[in-house]
Amino acid sequence: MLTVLGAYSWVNIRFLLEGAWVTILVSVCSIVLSYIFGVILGIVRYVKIKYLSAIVGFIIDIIRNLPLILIIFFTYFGLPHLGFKPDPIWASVIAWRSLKQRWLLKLFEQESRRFRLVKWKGPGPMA
Amino acid sequence: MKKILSKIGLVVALMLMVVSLGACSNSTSGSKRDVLKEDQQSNTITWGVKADTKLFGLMDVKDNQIKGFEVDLAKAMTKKILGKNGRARFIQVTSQTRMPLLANGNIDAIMATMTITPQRAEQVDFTRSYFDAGQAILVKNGSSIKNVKDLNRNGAVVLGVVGSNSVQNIKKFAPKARVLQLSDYSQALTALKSGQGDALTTDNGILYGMSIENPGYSVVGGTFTKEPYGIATAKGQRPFHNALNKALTEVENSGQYNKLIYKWFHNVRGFDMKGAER
Amino acid sequence: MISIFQNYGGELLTGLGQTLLCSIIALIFALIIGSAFAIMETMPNKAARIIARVYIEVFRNIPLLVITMFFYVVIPMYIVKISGFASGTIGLTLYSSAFIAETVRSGIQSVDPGQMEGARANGLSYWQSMRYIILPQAFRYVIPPLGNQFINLVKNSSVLAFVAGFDLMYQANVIASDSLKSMSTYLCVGLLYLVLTLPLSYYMRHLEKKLA
Repeated sequence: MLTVLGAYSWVNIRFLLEGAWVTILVSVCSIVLSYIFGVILGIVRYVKIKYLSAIVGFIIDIIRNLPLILIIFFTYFGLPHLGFKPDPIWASVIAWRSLKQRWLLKLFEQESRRFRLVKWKGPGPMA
Repeated sequence: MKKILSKIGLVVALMLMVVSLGACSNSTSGSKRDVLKEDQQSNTITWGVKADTKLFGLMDVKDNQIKGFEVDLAKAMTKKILGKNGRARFIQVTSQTRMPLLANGNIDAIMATMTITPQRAEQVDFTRSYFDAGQAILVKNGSSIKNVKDLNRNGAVVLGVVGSNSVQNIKKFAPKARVLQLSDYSQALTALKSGQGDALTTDNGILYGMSIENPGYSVVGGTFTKEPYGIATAKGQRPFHNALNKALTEVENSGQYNKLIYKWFHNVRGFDMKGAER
Repeated sequence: MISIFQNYGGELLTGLGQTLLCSIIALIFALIIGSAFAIMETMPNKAARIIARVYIEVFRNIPLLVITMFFYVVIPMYIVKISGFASGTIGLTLYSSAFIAETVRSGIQSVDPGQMEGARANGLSYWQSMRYIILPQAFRYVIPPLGNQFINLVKNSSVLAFVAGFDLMYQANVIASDSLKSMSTYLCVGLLYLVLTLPLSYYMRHLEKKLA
């Protein structure tokens, strides 16, 4: 147990706090960006523009079905091929964003579906 | 039915897309830029170094700086190449990420306890060796394992790090042992401490660093391979590559090299100082 | 990319097997544990509700990697040795069960409370009405979000890579560093993950349409 107590020196705590700051930064950026992109893509998918909606839907399916860590690898190792070099933190923000936006999108779709469901079910049990 | 068919078609199309993307990614890694020129313009060399390896490159939590023999050597070599005001930028890498990062141009050179091997030399260019290590094993004090031969039995578990060539070597020296590959050295050491394996194997220099921090563990049995460390650059960067070799020679001849060896290794138990000096 | 499949077929297959095995074990136990806590949370008994709440909040709010590391590092130091695969699977089960519990609870609560009253008035016991009236409806409501949880579970099994659990992601790291072709390797592995998760997600969508 001594090793556990030893880990709580001030120096270590400050280091952890710096880590916490990165966590907050990554989270806030990802939440905001993913929300914006998620809503936009959700609307594109919902209004059913020919081809575009299908393509968007398909990309969503792919990203939604891959582990986050794999997407982070792709953004960190893959994006530089396209001439864009993110440092580790930004790579994870981008990855989170793309994952999260898909996820929010699903939520959005689901909610809208659920909403329809509720409306439809409304008078059911009474009738 | 039609709908299902179109879905399947879409899946196939996407798979093809991914495959072709994969094919592209192999060919685009060779870059045409001149690293030496770019670095002279920006007055900065970007080095990929370890941040989890005591003595070579370790993140100091007090001031967020990476410190170690390799970091100091990189700083000295940067000054030789770019002049007194040249800046060295350090990006932390692991055995697993260093090669892709170099290929992508995130870093200019790797100095991260990387052994020169023929297989790696096909992907990157190595300078001549700047440190001669050898592979060894670290065990808990009082362990029944005294050298690498004791690990060659069924049920023995050896811990290593993904991407290091020590995990390949151990398969030759102890083919019966099971090898678990962790993501970095601190993880591997944690796994050893919690009894997930009988021994941790990697280069002796790194293991010495661990045994200083953890007196309950020691390096046993001496080295069983030769691991010359080289600085890796991307293929086709001849001018930069030559500048590095020249800078290394200058650092060695000026006596700076031996000072750095003394600074980092003079109080390491069992380290052969005379053999390491140049 | 093809060369990766040719040269490392065995490793990839082992990885696929381990990922599948871990996912199936975790899925079954997470569903059982999650449903149990969901029922506890909706019970009239206050103590049961508090216990369920604490369990869910603890495992829902701690990162999966931390839970797994706890079983991989801390437990073996003091209590009993657990392999990387086992600790990853236990971590994944506990973590997912908390999310599944939340999902199933929302399903139970979306069933009209009148149904429970009606069932009780017709002479069924609390457990009987739960079993025959409430749960079948609840699961119907939560199939879409539950499907999401299953997909997340398969993806989260990549946590095994951090504890040397020989899963797909672990093999990806090993192969990438051995072949030095990281991009192609991760694309191959991405493809294999899709092979596992895409059918699941299409099946869930199909099920959802059928039931809605």
